[in-house]
Amino acid sequence: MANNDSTQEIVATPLTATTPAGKAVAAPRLSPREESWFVSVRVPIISVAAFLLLWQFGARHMNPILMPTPTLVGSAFRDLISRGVLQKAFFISLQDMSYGYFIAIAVGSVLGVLTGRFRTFEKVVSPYISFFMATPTIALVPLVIVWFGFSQSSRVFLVAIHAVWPVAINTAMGIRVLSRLLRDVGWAYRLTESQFVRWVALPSAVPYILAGLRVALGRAVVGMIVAEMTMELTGLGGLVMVYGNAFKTAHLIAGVITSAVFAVFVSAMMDVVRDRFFPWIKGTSA
Amino acid sequence: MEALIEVKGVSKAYANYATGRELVVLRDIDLQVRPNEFVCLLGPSGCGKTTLLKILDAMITPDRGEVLLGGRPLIERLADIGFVFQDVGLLAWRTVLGNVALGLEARGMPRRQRETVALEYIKLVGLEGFAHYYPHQLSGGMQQRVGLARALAISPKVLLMDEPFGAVDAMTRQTLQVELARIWEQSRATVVFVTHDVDEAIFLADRIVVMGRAQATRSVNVALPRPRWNRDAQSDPEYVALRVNLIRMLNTAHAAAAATVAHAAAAATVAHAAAAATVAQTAKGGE
Ligand SMILES: Nc1ncnc2c1ncn2[C@@H]1O[C@H](COP(=O)(O)OP(=O)(O)O)[C@@H](O)[C@H]1O
Ligand SMILES: [Mg+2]
Repeated sequence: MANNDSTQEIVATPLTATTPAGKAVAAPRLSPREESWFVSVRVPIISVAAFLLLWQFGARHMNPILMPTPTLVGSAFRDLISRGVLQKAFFISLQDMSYGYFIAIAVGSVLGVLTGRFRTFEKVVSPYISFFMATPTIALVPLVIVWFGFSQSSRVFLVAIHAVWPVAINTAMGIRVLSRLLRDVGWAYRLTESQFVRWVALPSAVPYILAGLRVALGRAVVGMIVAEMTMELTGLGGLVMVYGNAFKTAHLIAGVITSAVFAVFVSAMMDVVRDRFFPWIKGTSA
Repeated sequence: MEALIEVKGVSKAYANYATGRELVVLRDIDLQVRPNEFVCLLGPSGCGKTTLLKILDAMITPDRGEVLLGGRPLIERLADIGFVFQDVGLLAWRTVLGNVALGLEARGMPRRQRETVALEYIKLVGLEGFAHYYPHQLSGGMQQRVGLARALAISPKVLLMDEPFGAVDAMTRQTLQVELARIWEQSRATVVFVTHDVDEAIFLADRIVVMGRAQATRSVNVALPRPRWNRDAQSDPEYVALRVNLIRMLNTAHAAAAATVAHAAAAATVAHAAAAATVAQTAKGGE
């Protein structure tokens, strides 16, 4: 994941806190920055390389259907890419996921604003939210197929319904914890209800909303894979399923790895969006 | 002159859920503020200054009594009151420009126009060149200037200020006081300014209203001539007398009776005082 920053903070903080007491002790060691760079960049690389080596040697004499070697997975990747299968699956997955995710954001934030702002509305919808949160999304698959058939709409719907709740819940929470001071500011400068929500309540809830979006993103990816595996076989989920059924384990693992890369990719995109559009968050949360 | 703000028998109590008892914060407060007057509410912390100020902007509804603004009850949210908060309350997601323009934008003033006006006030409070900064990029004193500009930008008839300089360092506070006095002398808005700092009150006010715990108040006129920032206040007997008097009143703030102590004589002696230290500078000695 793209959390080099947070690793650095976690590693750096205790070190800088203890150094003022004794510079002599700290001197022979790496400076906090070097050490955290070492820990956050080199150690993971070494760890992955060691893992791949172990895997290669361990799986050398095993049945490749049970456990293919990394080299076999590598050639599966080459095969999938040269035939364009992986790219196509990746693109379909990206579509399924993004449509569903954006619908979840749109619906979830409106739902969140209403539940966060109006007590009565909260009472009205909270049983349904609890119900859907508790329902395993996979159990909804047959129903979704009845409604939308074997189509992209079905997959998008499943992604959206799986991802919408954390957005709604976090938005509502962010709006509910709005400080007395900001309420007073809204009053003093005569903001209308809609101005207040758009200019004060929603932006002040953005850190909460982003936390919700992050959770929702993970759920959107899960929803996407579930949808692609259980409805018509397509996208990355379908690819994994198809090669699993065909016992082409190296291809299957290539698909799983791509799904993981996919999740990291969209999560990194989200960090970029946050820093681009909400530059003030870094200043206030620090 | 007719009062612009009239507070009549205002009372307010808060329920304390921990003790189950009611805390009376304001009891039968009467207060009149004339147009263009600069009134300081002076009192120890916790005596209900913020509560009273918020009642003046209908942010809090009193349990009893009423507030008249220009002779009319303060039921509707009136558009021409500017409020400067103790904790500033800037919107972290808006730049200085966006914050200062908030009140104008709420009234639907077109973008270009409101930005022109906002820039004017940003300049007035000495923040030229910082229009596109975010609040977290500014010091505490600068943030408080933004808070002031935001309040001034709507050209309020009444400016309510809640210990606006309470959280900034002594040097910055002094600068801000001088600039507020300068700005006020230009705009002549009616100001109600809350403070617990005696010297700040003397430096800024036409009239100081001393508040005791939940009590009605005594009112003291400050007849020192303006501008006040280039006089040697320490050597000014009237200033010292006023200061001693105010501190004594604060200490016996439980006295319920309201009386007006006029200091009309002050003007004469103060007029030829030398210009070494500002009034505000002396201020730091006592607290
Ligand atoms: N919302 C509230 N609920 C309960 N008690 C409050 C509330 N606001 C203020 N108080 C209490 O009322 C008293 C006066 O508060 P305040 O008006 O803020 O005083 P000041 O501004 O003079 O320091 C304080 O004792 C405070 O604890
Ligand atoms: Mg206060």
